[in-house]
Amino acid sequence: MKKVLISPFAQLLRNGKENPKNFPYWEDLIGLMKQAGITVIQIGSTKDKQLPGVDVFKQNLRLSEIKDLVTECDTWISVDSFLQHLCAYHKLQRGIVIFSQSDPKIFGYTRNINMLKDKRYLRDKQFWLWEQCDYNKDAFVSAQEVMDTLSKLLSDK
Amino acid sequence: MITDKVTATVSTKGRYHNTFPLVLTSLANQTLRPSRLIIYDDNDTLEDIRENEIYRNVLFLLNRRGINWEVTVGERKGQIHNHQRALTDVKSEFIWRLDDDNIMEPDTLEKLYNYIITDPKIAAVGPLILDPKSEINNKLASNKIEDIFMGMNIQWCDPKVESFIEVDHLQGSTFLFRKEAGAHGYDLNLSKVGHREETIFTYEMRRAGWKLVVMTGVKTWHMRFGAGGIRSDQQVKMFERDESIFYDYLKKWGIKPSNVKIFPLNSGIGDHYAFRSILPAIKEKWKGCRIVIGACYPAVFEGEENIEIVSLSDATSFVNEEECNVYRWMDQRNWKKSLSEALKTMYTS
Repeated sequence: MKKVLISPFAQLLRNGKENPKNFPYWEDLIGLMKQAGITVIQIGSTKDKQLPGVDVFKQNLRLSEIKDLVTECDTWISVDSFLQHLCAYHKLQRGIVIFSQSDPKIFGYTRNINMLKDKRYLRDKQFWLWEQCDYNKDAFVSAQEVMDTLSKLLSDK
Repeated sequence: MITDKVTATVSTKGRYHNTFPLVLTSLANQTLRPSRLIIYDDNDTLEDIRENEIYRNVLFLLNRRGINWEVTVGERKGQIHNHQRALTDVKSEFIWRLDDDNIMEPDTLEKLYNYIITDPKIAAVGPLILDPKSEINNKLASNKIEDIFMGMNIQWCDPKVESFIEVDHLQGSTFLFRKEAGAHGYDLNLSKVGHREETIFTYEMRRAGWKLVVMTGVKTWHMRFGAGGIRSDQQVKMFERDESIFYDYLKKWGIKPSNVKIFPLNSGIGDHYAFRSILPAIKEKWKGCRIVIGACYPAVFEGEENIEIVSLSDATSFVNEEECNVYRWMDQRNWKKSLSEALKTMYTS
């Protein structure tokens, strides 16, 4: 059985609003992953909620523990957040990063599969605070697209 | 208690009607008081402080508390000339130099004196000299002579624990010293502002084999005031000239000032990792420098060698955080390449 680690949430915003980097279709994606017989391991902070369908939920892990956990998994999926940087630094296995309004050419790594729905959703001010940006559900790829990409990635391994 | 082993001296200018009465009051309230006080009045226009009602009260108070005070007209060439005169005027074993804008906590002299007499090799003991408006405790603070240009010494920080730290030099004008250890005197070539005078004076003690100690459990309060003292001259050139003299001293002493490169990371974990990925290039670029990182997430740098990690706030005491903001840097350049490349270009080219 394949094991996939997910890091579903970007940092909480200071204005309390939803971070525009957060993927809106996690529940659908996890459902698809479960149908494919994948064990889903979620990591997060104390404030993060456990997503329905997740098999294992680990909160507040040390960075070294996250690194070890990623190594144990077949691959990983995250939004544009710290995990892609951690994996790139430690040269861990490639994963899937779901982008929306931030530019993967700037914030992503070519070693990963960076999923951007369309360039037209990229925000003009790439370097401004995320509090200055509105959430846009339309900017994300669908759960099925991520699942298809994941299936291909796992079958290539 | 009164001791005739200590004479307090203070050189004053431009502080008649602001901080100086506070200094005298805190002196009168010491648990251990010097039997003698010499005031070097360095004001250009002299006032007879006995004619002032507040001063009259304070001066009577000093007398009633057993402190025999005297006012002498200063050299008006800057405080170092008065400090130099004090070396002759004072007959006691110890001189307690006071700054004319420092308030000493009541047990200051008692603690300094009780410590200095424990070891005949101790030349001078200095207290903390704290700004009441800002609470500082910076891990990078240092009284090592190599770190002189860091601009942050341990006497300005309050670690909130009592400790006795041997140092290379004392900073701040208030300290207690053994007159014998100051026989080399002050450098009278320094300008009126006397920039670095206490560092030169006390480091020469150290070089002569004496010990210098900072007592972190002893506090004096620096009542910063925008006029008077060395600030009244408003002459940057004097500071520059004194600094040039100080460089000559460093050369003579064979001191190579430490070169510190500080990187404040006011960012998320991901940005910390991106920064870590370019550390080899940074180490190469700043070879021979102390590399200090002000980090919000120190764990990102676990196992990294030849760097120092401090808190972000410690780091930003030394550098302009905004100028080190990679997002601002990228925004200004309409950056299109990767974050790591931006960091590398920003810090190494």
